[in-house]
Amino acid sequence: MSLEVTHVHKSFGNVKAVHDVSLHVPPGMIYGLIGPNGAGKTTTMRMILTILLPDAGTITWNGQPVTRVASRSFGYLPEERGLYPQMGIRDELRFFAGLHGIRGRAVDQEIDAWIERLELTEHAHKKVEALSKGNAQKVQFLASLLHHPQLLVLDEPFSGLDPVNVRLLKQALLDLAQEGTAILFSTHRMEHVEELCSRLALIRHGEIILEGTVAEVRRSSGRRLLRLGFAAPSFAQDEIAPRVLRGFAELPPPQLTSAGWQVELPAGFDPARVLQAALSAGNITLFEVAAPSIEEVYVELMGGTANHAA
Amino acid sequence: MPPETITPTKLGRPSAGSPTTTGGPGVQPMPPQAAPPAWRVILGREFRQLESSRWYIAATVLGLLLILGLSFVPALLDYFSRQDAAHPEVIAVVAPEPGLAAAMQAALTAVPSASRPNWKLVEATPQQVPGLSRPLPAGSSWTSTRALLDPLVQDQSISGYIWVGQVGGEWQAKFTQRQISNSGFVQALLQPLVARWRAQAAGISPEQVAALVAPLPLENRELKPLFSDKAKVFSQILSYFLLFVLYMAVLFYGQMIITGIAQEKSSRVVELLVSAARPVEILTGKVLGIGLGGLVQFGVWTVVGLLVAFFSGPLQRWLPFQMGELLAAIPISVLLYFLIFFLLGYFLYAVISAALGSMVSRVEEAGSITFPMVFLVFIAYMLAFDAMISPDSRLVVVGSLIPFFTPMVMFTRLTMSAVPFWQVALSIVLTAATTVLLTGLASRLYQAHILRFQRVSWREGWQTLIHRTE
Repeated sequence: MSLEVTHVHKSFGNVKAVHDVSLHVPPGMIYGLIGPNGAGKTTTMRMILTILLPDAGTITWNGQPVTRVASRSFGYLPEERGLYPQMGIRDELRFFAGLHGIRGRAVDQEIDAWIERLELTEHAHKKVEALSKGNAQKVQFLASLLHHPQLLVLDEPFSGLDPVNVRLLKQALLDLAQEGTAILFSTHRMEHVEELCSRLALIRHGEIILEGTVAEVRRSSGRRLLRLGFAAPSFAQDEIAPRVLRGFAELPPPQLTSAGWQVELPAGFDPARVLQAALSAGNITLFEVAAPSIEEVYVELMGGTANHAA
Repeated sequence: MPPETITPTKLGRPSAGSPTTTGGPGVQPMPPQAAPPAWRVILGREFRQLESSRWYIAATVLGLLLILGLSFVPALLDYFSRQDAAHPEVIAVVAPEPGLAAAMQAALTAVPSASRPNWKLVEATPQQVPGLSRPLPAGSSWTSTRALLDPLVQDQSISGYIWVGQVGGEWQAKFTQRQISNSGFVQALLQPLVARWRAQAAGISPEQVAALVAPLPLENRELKPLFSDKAKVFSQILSYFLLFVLYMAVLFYGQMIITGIAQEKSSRVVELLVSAARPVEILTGKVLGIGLGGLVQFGVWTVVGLLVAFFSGPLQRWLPFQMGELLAAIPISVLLYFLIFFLLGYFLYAVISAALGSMVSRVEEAGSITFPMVFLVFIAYMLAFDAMISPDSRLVVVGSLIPFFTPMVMFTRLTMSAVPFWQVALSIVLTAATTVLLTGLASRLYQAHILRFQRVSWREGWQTLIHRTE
């Protein structure tokens, strides 16, 4: 019961959109596909949904070619959102549930429950064309999951949503994964990745350049970052941290980031030495040794290519 | 936000069991029922959307008003012809013998009222001709007739006058109006009279003349009559009806199918559709859904039209036959063929529309792409009219076996002559097979160009069809 994408290739004319991509998404896993626009994320998803056929390679679900199972077992939120504008929300959702093979009172009740859960109740009587972009997107999200798909493929599910709706959607995704749904989603917003994904793949120019768990990806570079902070109104006004850090000749000059004062630790450097020095320097509020964030890994790897990291 | 400090445990998501999670898929008091196949779901949606669209309702109502309006046309015609009868145009007649005006009037009345001029032919007497100072007796000369009557035509006291007489021993007639119209009638009315006078002069009796010009009785003997005369008339009306309705259907519903497909592409709902259903299911559902909407509309119009024909008194008087009589006379087989060929043609062209629709990406492109379809229908039309004249000519027989023309041409042939059964069966099979084949081709076009957001050229379309995989 898992999605296996094996050595898949897809070209459009001379453009290699997807080159030798392999993925494995088991039930209950939330898998992130990360990369700049045009990296091949959407093409990969369209091939999983059998909207496009790969030039080479295989895509299977549960050992079966996806062409056999996609329509009933998969749910899809396309990047290009689209619903029938003239239909009411409930009719629209009933239609897509029916298209995926289910109908009846149970479906209607579930639609109502989801409408309430995603805070669409006050819009439930409206036609889709009367909805705001964010609300239409939530309706579209529901259209992709009412038939209890075993695999949910979401192309940029959070783009265009306000923080409240992002949180609603994230919670729904985590619950669905809890129930055993395999979820593959693409994004270029790194914070979503670290919050949601068990595994991720960084994709660039149609190729996967890094793949693994969030921890593996963060550790992949071997870099360690040390962050230090002392009681101060803001990081910028904290004068003690940079002074302490500059006291170590082996360390590069400290940098002020949104997360505080930070240095990259050279190999073999024991961070406890900094802690020792800091304890006598003042009132410590932050001491942290961590691998780079996904965002930092991403920026480092994608450096030079256009990216949309937050 | 500090990216490095976020871990799944710090999400701040509501704990399990909080009110927001109760609506999830985990809550299932009853299992969902299995829905019908995707094409039926799509069919249902298309049909409901069509039925509830303002355009559809307006067109249906407008059609009904048109039918009801047409039922008043005979009454209107009746009214106008009564008005005309009350105010005829006065034409004075000056001839060598009295009573000619009455004889001509009698001959004129024998012509069907719809096509004859509304004339009152009178002797040139002051009683009959307003404004005439003295009577012009039979045999009056052209000069004196002209002198008296020309002014009356000028001032419109009378519409015109006819003078018949001999000039230099030969018969002549002159017809004077302000502007000449219907002079052919005068010629036709006078010809037999002049022939009688000529015969008299030659010493031939009227009986001999009558014997000479007596019409040849022609008896038409049909050894294997296809229909009774009435059935024939009605069958032909049916075949006109089929031509008309198919033409309308191709124009309107073909366009609707093309527009529908284009709308799904421009609203991008198409990507969701194709992820859930196969192209052939989508197109089948769409064609049948919109097709069903069209059939309902035509059905309503037909029923109302028939009711009007039955119960509208003026229409009954105006028609040269009784509707009930004709319906009773029409063979069941013809009605059955009508249904078969109507549906065949309807869905064949609906599928062609679907194929064409697969090549457009925006509604604005939908108009120009119908050209090939309209062209095919036009050829079918021409062949069908040919079939009404010579139903068994080689051109018509061949044409009736070509699927694109079969529905119109074969049905017309069936109403006109005895078509061998194998030809009928073959044409039905060929058309049905073509429809199925075209559905497959349309699906391939659709699949290949779903994500195209610009019009597919004919060349590209053709390449899609000949290459097995895209």
